[in-house]
Amino acid sequence: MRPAELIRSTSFRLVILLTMVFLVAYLVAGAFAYRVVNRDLDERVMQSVELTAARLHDVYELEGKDALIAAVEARARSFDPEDDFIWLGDLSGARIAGQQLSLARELKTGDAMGAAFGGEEDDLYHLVVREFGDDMRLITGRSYEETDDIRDAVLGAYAWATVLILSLAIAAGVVLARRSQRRLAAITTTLEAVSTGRLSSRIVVGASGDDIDSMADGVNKALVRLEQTVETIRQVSTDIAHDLRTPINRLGIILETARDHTGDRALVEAKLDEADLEIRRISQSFDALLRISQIEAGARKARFKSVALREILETLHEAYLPVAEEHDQKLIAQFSSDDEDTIFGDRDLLTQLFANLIENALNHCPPGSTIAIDIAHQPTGVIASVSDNGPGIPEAERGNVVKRFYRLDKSRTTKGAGLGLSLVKAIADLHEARLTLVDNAPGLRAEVLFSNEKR
Amino acid sequence: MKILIIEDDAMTSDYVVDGLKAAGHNADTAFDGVDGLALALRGGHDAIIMDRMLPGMDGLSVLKALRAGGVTTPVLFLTAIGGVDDRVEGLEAGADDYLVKPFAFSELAARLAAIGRRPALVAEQVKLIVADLEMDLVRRSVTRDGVSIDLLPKEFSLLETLMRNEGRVLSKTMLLERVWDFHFDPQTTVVETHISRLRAKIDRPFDVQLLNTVRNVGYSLHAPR
Repeated sequence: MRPAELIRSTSFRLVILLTMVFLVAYLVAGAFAYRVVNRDLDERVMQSVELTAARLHDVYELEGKDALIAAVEARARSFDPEDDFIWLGDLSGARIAGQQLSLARELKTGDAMGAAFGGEEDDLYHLVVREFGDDMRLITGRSYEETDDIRDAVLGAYAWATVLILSLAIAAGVVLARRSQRRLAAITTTLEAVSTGRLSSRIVVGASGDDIDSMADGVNKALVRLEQTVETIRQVSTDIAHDLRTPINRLGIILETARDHTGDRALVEAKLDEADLEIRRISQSFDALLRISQIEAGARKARFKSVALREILETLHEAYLPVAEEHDQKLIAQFSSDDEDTIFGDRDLLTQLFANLIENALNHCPPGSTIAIDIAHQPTGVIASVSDNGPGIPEAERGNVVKRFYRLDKSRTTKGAGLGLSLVKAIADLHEARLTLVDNAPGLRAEVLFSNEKR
Repeated sequence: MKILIIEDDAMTSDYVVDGLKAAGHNADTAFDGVDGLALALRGGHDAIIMDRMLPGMDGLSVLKALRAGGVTTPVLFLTAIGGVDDRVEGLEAGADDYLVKPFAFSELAARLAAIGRRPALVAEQVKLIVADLEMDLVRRSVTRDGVSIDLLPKEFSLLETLMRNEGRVLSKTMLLERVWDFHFDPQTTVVETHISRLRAKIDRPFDVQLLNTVRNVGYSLHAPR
């Protein structure tokens, strides 16, 4: 992973941001603690100097001058002259006991630099000056050096801790960024593959179920949809190219024939009528194709409503009854009592679905056949079916008949473009219903199962 | 009638204008959405025939602008956009009818006649009368020349639709839409067989024929002319 990529990685940025926020809080708290500790340490220095002075005062009060001198000498010996000092002298500044001290007369209680009285030049000292009896003066002092050392140690530790936190954070950031980068790179690679045309590429989804996995899952779903849509478009354009060219070619022939016989008025008129019919047929196929592809693309789902299946079938039965009688066929409707048969769907499309099934039966069954429309209730759902006792469809062909432009009648003498069942299938799929063509022994039974969970 | 045609394809526009003039109507033309909207807003048209895909401003927007501007002139969409949802979308936007290209002029004329002079909703009619044919909408009974005629429910609504449009030609597609609410092209003779059954009941026993077939167009119910 290059540094630029690392810096652009969201997880790295997140880790760094969190670390920064943490560091700010840590430094604010640290600065506060440092101040408190600092004051405390300074107070201890002052207190210890005061205490020494007070103790010696007690010695003087209780045991007298000699004891005081002895005590001062003892302390002076034990003190490290760099840190502590003690001096006892008279008011004129002449030393009686303790360490050597210059300028003793001018010193006052308070802080003073070592240079002012002969201590360590660069150190700051706290001094307490006290008069003993009428003629003595005690000066005790203590360097802040030790507390400065502690302070430095604390600050140092603090600085190291900060460095440690920062480096741990950066390390964690790099590790996290690498890890998510690997997974994101897999997604990017897949999407790049898709954009170059390999639409079947899918992202491998991990098992952790975290946000990246659920995103990958979402992307995969979108890719499935995209592939389907592109496939549909491809299919439609192929269909148009292959199956509309034939009638367009026929149209050309018709017009050419008419032009070659311009003298024969009756023939020209007949040819023009033929051409008109051909155009109408082309337009119908075109509409049907577009309709199928739009339905396959899921165009209409937004308009789904609760519709009564039985009502649709009753309307169709009523509409087609006279047609069947004209064909010398029987069209019967068998509906069980008033069972619940509403489904969630599109009334217009469902009407077209069953109209196509009924019309198929009417157009393909010989006179004398019986066509039955019925609704059956099953534990799994509602089955609406159209069955006949006509010639049926050979088992091997049942999968093919739903394909676009596929016709059992290879000579193509019956009307229609071979799109009826494709449309039925597309509408059934849109409703997540299952279309099955079964042997009615004899004849065909087309069943559409609307399963309960989809209703 | 004075009809406004908003259509960018000159050939289609000329074809419609010629047809309308031959039928005795006046026609204004506009070739893009903006001009069309301006002309339509000026008013004075009995109906508007409009394409949906227009340069400048699409038909749906023109229609919405018209309706928003309080123009209630009936609008018929004449369009190549014939997808499953497009018709509904057009009607929802306020169109009065929707015809998909390619179309036959006779179909356009029939639909135009139906929307152009659509009578204002008069108080609920209870009786429809065409010559000696009478329909009582309350008792749902039909008599001709005093003789009662028994009709099936769909035959009744088919006859009702024809009677309400007395003298006008109704195409097969229009009847399918209005009587059965079917929005597809049947591959069988649904309309023809129903018409022939209706004719057997209301015309055949009588001397004068009221239900006429208009060749290649549709059907019309009227007294002999």
